[in-house]
Amino acid sequence: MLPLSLLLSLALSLPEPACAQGSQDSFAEEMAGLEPYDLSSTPLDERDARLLKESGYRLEDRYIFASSQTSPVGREDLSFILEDLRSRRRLQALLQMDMIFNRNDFQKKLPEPDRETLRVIARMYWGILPSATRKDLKPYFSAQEISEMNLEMSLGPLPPPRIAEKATPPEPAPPLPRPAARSVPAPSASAPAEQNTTPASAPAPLSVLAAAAAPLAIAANIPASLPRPAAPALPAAAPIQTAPQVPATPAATAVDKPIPPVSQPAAATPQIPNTAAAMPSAAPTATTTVIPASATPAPAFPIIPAPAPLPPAQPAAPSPLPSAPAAPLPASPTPAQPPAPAPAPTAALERVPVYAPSASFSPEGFKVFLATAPYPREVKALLELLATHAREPERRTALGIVRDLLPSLLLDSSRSGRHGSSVLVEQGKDMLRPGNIQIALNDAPMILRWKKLFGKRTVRLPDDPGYYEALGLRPPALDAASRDKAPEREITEEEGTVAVYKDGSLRLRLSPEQLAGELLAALLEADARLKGWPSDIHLRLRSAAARNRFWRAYAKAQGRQPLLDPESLTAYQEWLERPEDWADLFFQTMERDPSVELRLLESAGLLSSEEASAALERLPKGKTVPQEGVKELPVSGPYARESWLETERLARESQ
Amino acid sequence: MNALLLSLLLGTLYADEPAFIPYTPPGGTFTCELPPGWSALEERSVRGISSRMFGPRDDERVRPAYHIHQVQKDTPGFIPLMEGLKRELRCEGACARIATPMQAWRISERGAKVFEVRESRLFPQETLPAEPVMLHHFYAFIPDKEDYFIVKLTVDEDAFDAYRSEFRRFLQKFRILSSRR
Repeated sequence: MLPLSLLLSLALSLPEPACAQGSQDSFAEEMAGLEPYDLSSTPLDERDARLLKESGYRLEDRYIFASSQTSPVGREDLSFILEDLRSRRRLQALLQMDMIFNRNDFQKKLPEPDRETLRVIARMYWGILPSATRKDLKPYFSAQEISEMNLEMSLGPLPPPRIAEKATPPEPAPPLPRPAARSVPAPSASAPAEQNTTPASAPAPLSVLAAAAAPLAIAANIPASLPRPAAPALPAAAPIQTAPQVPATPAATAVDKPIPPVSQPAAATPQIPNTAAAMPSAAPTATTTVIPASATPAPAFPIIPAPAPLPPAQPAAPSPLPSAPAAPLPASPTPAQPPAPAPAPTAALERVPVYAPSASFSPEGFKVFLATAPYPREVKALLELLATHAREPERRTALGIVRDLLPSLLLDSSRSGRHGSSVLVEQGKDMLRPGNIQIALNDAPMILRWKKLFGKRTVRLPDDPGYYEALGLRPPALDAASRDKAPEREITEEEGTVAVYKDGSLRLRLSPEQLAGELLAALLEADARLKGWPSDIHLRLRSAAARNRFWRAYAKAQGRQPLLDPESLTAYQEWLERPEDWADLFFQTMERDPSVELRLLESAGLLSSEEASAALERLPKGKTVPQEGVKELPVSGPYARESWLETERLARESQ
Repeated sequence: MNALLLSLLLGTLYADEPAFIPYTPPGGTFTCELPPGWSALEERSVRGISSRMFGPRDDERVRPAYHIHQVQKDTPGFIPLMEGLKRELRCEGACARIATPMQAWRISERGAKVFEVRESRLFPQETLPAEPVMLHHFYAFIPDKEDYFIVKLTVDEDAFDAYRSEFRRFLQKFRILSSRR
């Protein structure tokens, strides 16, 4: 029991995310200039909103604030904060389940109250539990329940309840085991009425999860400003459940005392104007009832409370943030306004699933998935290569996207735009819906070659008709530009394996290991897009480093270098031996120069000199802008950079 | 009168020389002088700290850029200076690098190795249309106790001659400010 209590105390004393702590100031400096997360444009999933609120975050107007912070949470911060919070929830859920099994000598057959508690915990956290744990928990659920939970886990939350349904009588909470000797105070008259109407299957707040710590007399690390809906949230008619036999402890007996409503002083619970008005069903009282965690130990068993409703965003509410993001909020609380007439918060109530990268990867499970996956044979071969040779954590991230989101994977150079390797296309707004991501790999770049007086000149060209249409050009009239024409022969030369067409035009042939590496890079870019990271040089570096890491693992397993085209092989060897040089070239080609591109197309005969001159004239002239001193280039968001450096660290440490 | 003539003569001689701008990155590891119109960026990198300075875009296909890396000993994948030098000069497999012989220089009161490398690379990377471009790198490896600095200027081969004197001037003004140990 001692190690368990030690573990639990560690879990409960886990630090708050960086954004929620005092280091926010320096962090905010680093993040200065980044866009805050806007709830009105991208509403949160209700579960995430609740998770944030229970962890001390404030959802006010259109923005999210960490506790005691005045700067809103940045758009790219949010996914990390949510990941962190989910991770801590996961640990707490595992500890709670471990306690249940521990007191039953790790027997699989549990007494009914414990079994029901376990089912409630597992149901609440099914989506964030490790796959091995989910597998262990399957015997406690019916096949239909498993199917429903898996469906919600992979496809996101179920459609939101209609507004009219909010007024219907609440469903009774599922029977939960609770100590028989303990009494739960009846809900006070001022208890929010809507709390009875919230679904009982919602996740428990941190205070409830911490309840399992009460028998161990471990203080929960709960934010002082966290509303505690547990006790007043229970319907008055809810029967008190019978609890398993657990020895009473001083901490547990303290629950018998009714929880007094405490009106916090002004500084303790700052309230933002109109926050309560933003919640149509909020308590009509002028003060907020807040219970400090240290004053009222939680009951010994988890109670599923009626969760606080998601505050609908108020598009019409004035927000001072866009004009003054760092404006200090009022230090003293403003009394909450009486609930306004309920607006129609349809947009705000829409549940938006939030992307969570895959936490685990099972090669066997993926093999089973691939057997029935709707991909052609060539793509399956690439995915098998990734499953075999890609390193963690890139493998589970990339193949997790394939497994969960079923992106459309194409080997088609005519759909890869101007990209030399791959292009990621978002089909539709919701990337989290299966099939809404499209990745087109440039499997055969077109080569244009002509002789010069001394030597020859070779240019790699895109063969996407859309690229030429955008420039007002016709695609090159070459056999190689048409994917319908078959090559005459294949030869191996300095460019690699090249398909030669009837008119002498050429196409490069890329090996499966090269295409698999490009696919891995594109999937990691999709992962970054899903996380909301801005597309910048560090994203490219991260994807390219993961690709190189895959090739190195492939080379190690096969005992030979991967078959890459000469440029890719040069870059790969450079990454292995001279990582600084490798990154330098990325930075130096960070900007695309349209004038260079136009001259290249002109020299390739795809653009007449008049057309090229006219297009060059139309280009903006920016190089003559006078500049004082050395201009510091903006540093992009830290997450892509840190993720790239982490990939590099893993690669270099395993060398 | 003579003094006036002398000052006019000197003014004529130095009229075309641009006023170089002192620059110290936020990390404060070194100081240098940059030509006007350059932009700078410093950040953590794979094996230490990297500062990059980009020149104004002219007619060359490749934008000139200084890359200054402080390679730190306690980072994953660290290799000592001499091994790093060997790797820079080595050319195996698909690489198309030609290096000049090394020269010994005195930079920031330290014995440094200076050399040049020409290599052909596809430019731009990962975007089409692209074609092989000959790049010219000027390198200086400067020891700093157990760490070392790599100072590198990368330009288009077509314009490298104009940058050779610039690289020498840059190295003369380059000062390592503080060692980590």
